[in-house]
Amino acid sequence: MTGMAALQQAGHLTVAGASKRFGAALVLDDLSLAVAKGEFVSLLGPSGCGKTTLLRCIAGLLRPDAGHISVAGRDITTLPAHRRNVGVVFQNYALFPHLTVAENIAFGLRAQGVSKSESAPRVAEALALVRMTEHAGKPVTALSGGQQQRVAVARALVVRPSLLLLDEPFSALDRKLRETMQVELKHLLREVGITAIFVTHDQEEALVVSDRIAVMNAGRIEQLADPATLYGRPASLYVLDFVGQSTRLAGQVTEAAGGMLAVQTALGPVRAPGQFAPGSRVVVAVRPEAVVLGEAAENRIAARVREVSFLGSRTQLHLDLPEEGEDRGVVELPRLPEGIGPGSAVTLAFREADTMVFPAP
Amino acid sequence: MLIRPTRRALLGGAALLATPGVLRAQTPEIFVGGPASPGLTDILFPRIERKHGFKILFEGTNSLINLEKIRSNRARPTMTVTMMDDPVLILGEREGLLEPLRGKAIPNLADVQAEAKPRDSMWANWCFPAASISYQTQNVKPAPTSYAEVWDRKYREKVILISMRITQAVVPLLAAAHLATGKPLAECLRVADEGFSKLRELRPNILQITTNPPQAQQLHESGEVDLFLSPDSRTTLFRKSQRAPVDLAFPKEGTVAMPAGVALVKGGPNQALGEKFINELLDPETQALVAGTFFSKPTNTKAVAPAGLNLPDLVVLDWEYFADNRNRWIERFEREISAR
Amino acid sequence: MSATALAAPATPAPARRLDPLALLALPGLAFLGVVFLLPLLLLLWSSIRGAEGFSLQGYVRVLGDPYYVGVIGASLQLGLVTTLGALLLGYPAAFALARAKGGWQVLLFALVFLPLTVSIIVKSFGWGIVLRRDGILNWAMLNLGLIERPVRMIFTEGALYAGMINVFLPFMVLPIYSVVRMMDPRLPDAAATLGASPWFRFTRVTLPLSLPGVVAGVSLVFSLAVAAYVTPSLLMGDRYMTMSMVMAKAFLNLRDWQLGAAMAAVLLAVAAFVVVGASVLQRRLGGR
Repeated sequence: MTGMAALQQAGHLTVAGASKRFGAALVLDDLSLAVAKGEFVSLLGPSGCGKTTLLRCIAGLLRPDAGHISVAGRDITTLPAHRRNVGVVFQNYALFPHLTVAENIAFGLRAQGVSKSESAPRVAEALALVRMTEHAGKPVTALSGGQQQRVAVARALVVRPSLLLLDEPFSALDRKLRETMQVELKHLLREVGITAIFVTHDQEEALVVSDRIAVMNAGRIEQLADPATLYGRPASLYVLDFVGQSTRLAGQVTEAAGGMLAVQTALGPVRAPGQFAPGSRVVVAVRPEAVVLGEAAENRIAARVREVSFLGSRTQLHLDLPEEGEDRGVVELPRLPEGIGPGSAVTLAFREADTMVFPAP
Repeated sequence: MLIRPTRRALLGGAALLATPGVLRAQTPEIFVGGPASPGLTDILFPRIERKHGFKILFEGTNSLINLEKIRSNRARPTMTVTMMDDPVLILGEREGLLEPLRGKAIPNLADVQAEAKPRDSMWANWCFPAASISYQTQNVKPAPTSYAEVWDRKYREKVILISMRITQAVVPLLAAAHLATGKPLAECLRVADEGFSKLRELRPNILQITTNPPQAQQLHESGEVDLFLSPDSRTTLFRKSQRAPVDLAFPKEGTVAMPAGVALVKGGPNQALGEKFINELLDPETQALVAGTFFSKPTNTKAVAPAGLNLPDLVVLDWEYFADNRNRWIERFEREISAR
Repeated sequence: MSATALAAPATPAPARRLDPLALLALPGLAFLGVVFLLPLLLLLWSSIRGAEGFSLQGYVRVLGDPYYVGVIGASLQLGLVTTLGALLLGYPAAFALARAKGGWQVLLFALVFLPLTVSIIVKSFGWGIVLRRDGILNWAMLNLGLIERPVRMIFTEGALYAGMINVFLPFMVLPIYSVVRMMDPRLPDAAATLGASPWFRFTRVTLPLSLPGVVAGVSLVFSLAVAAYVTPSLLMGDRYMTMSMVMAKAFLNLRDWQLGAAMAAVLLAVAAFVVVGASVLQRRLGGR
């Protein structure tokens, strides 16, 4: 209970030891999370990792089998959804198809018994906030995907929730619009000053919109950190893989001294900071942009180019690695040097400090 | 009426479809229309076919549809013999659809009791089913001896009447007229209107007025209904023979003969075979079989009813008068007796 | 042809031009014209033809006779009670059916629709067994101590209503089910997160969205029930005359074509009013 109290103090939203089982499947496994007031946190993970279940538990649409949830210091674990004051923007928005834009936005106010005279200016304000004033009288079925999302956000915000949950809010939009809306929505929510939880399976989206990201795996939070830490110092191979790309090689620790390791890989020896006993089987990894061609850093390995991908602002080289399994190779260069193409032999150089070591799975 | 020719054409077409055998007969055949009751095609007809060497094509439907068929084929009749209830036969006679029966061709007609050859032998009754009160033998002891007992309050909600739309409903109407006027049952048809007020007094006892006698019969046998007025002996005594706990009462006022007529269709094919068929139906030996099969009274005075079937003398009604007044009685019955 | 079809959505054809797809309705229309419209016109014709040519006597007899007005009233009452009962039972059942999963849904479907495959005659005998004095229902209530002596249930109006609801329930469930099945189950969730109580969610979200199904079910069940013939005649007999029973009597027994046709025309008017009213209502609801 002291842990719970500590968590409650730490966060605006706290989830303490939440578990949820559907039949034989343990979907939430003793999960804890604290989110500060005004913070944007993403729940990131593949489908089935429990992120939507956690969101529904916070919203009150599901009740966890064990654990506690509180918002602003109040335990809401057993409170039904309509008494929680937790706003939700649903995947595909779940707008009321029989109501107009303005009626959709006014719905929550009417449900809570707000008088017409008080609700009218609030609806107008919400419409203006999402720049939908001119569409107020339209049926929601006549709106584009982006407009529907704005209505859904306005509908959730107009009742002044203490917390906003967004379930894959961009998945219904095409890629171009998605990128615009991500920035726009983040800006809007920041202006309102609300605490928001995003559920997403798209790591890029999570990186764009969040202050912190909780990477979820099998009902647990694998790592909760700010995007830079998550990218630069992933806590596990799972996080390394889920967020960004990398070149990774399996190997064995040959030497460990003073926080530095020597690892023998199939492509030669690599040195990296870390704490492993000699003889440990490990995976060494380096982010694509930390690699240069040539010999300008401590670690150097020889490889052959399999494929070249031009991405505009940068170029990716996919490497032919001698071993299958855990190994994979992706290098990113600002521009492709002359004479490099599929089949070229290259030397990769990267700094010891940029080299990460994980226990082999 | 515009609709009628359409219906006639349809029914006529159906009749033609049903009788292709008539047109290309090898062994002689006749087409007989009649009620779809058991006993005819499985017991009676095979016997006649064997005895006389012709084939009987039978179509079983109710009397009014049967009449409609004869009417629509008036120009080129396909049916030789029709077996219908007397009130419907009267309609057929009035429209000139029937051929009078001739004693020369049907010798057994001479032995048939006079009441069973109405309208100068325009048709003959080939048997007299009996109708009075059907009672549930486990609940009603002893057997009712008078129609007055039906009005007894101990039978509250224990009586089912047959709808006036069905011929057998004449029995409770006659009984009511008798109780109201004191006239003998045989004379009560002509004063039937005077029975309605008495019938109204029966209402507390009436559980239902049925248009679906098999359903009522089932409730009767199950004991839900003590008295059922009036399925005739074809049902009650047949079910009794099947060990159902029901029996036919023989009230002192009399038991009523239900109509079962057989007639020749005017201009029908193979008239001679038709006459042979009717003569055989009226034969004393066949009549005994008919009586046993249909739990009815023979109409040939020389016929000997099978042992165990002891039906009293029956009250035979003037079915022409009945036919002429039935619609009015249906209306009165519905409004005064049935209505909630 | 395929080019026109492809171009059609981009350039909406002028309203007056006939969509070639409408031709697909022709066989159906021709069929209905022969087997339905033609007999219908003949029926209306015979309702205004008396023994001496044109006469409105049939309608005078039906609408001017308190007895027949009572019969019309009884039919309407039967239709209303049946519809209301079927709605109260069928509405939640349709939701259960739409939300049930796997084997449960199969089972519920069977429970709702298997009774349709049982002949009404068989059902009526079954009801007899359940409702009579020594029947299952009386036996159960006696043993539970709810009653002291058997209650008469057979051939009562209560039994008639119960039987009618039993017969027509599937026709209420099916249209509501097909609407509810298409309804996004997250809409009530969304309403809940906006602070809507269960009652508010039902009256402002679930009910309005399911209303097209309700309107279809109500108009279907009402027009079937108000025209019912077999079920009332089996469950009540002549003591509860309906319009259809009068028609049967007029055509089959009285051979009074004008009376039967006039009653049929009145029934048709009632049913047409309900069906047209329902489709107007439905269009208005659908327009939102």
